[in-house]
Amino acid sequence: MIEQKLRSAADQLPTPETELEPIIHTAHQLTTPARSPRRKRAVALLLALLLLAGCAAGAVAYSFVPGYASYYFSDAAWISGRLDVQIPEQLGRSPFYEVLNIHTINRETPWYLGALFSRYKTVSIQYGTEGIEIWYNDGEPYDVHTILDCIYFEFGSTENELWRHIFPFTDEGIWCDEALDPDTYTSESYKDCLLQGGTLIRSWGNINDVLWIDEELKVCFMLGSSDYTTEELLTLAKELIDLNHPD
Amino acid sequence: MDHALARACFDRYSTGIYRYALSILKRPALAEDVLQETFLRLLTRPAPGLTLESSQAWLYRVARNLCFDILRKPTEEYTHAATVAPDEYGYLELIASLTPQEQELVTLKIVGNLTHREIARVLRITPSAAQKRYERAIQKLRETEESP
Repeated sequence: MIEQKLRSAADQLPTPETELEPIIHTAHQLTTPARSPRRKRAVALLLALLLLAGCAAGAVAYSFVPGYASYYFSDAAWISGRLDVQIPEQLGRSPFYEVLNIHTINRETPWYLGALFSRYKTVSIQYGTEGIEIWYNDGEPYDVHTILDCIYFEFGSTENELWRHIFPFTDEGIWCDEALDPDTYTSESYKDCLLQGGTLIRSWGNINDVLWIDEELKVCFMLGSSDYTTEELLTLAKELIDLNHPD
Repeated sequence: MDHALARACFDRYSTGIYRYALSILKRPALAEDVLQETFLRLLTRPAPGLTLESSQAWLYRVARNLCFDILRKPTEEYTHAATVAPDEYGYLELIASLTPQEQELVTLKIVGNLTHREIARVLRITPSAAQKRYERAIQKLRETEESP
């Protein structure tokens, strides 16, 4: 209801007066090849290198505050091979959609240097199907392109001390809300948390999460979805555990 | 960049990007500037391999950086541009109770029609964080609406 109201109000926002043709004209002027002397190019290159070195030194000097840089890959097998974690092509009713590497970096590190200054790497895989969802605006249906039956499957090694910044477990393997990013979560956010057979189940609103630690692989796993129930996610967690422990 | 592709991007995304910039800057003239600069960058310095679909998150990311470049400047440098009051547009009034970060996320979803994954690309956060922050913001708005 509130989303319909927002969409309806957003449709009343003004439209821009800007037209593209003058921008194309400006772009054409800007991209006309300039006759730069070789010396100028060398100076520009040197300045760029100095700037890069400055960024690098700055990034290293900052004390750790988590931030994220994301890199996208579409090859599940490549990630599986590198992390010794088996990833299925299908999870429940959702096919593999996309895989993403998330680098935990110092907050002030530029995202494009994320891979260079990564402090901890996790993997986030999205399952689901591209499709059309029907939304309504003033009772009128319209199409929104989205991912249907979406599941986020995230995991990372527990051998890196930063893992608890991502996965909320204490040494005793229980809920640890100090680990959470205060920008995202508050301690009230997840009241429905319970530990069941080593699996942490939590829900907030219509979002369900299931987390577990694989002691043998030394990896923490998390499944999250608003399209699957916690019971369904628990079943999928069991399938993933079996897949990674065939014996 | 190919002008035909730029035109297609402009037709599809310019209104959303303008409204997104307007919701951040609250100044229509500056939002027009951001829109112009965003498409100038698309034409002169596009990311490699952009398609009509993949350019959406890229364009919003560029627009976002430009908005924050403006906001980082001392206020007196842009006070010449008239501000809109939140109650001037119903949408801005509706989201006024949210934090600026929540307003931005809701605007990307509602105005830009971006998926959580695309929002994650724009904001450089994890997709699940984008989804959760969005759900929380909507819940907050629902509670604000229901409160007497």
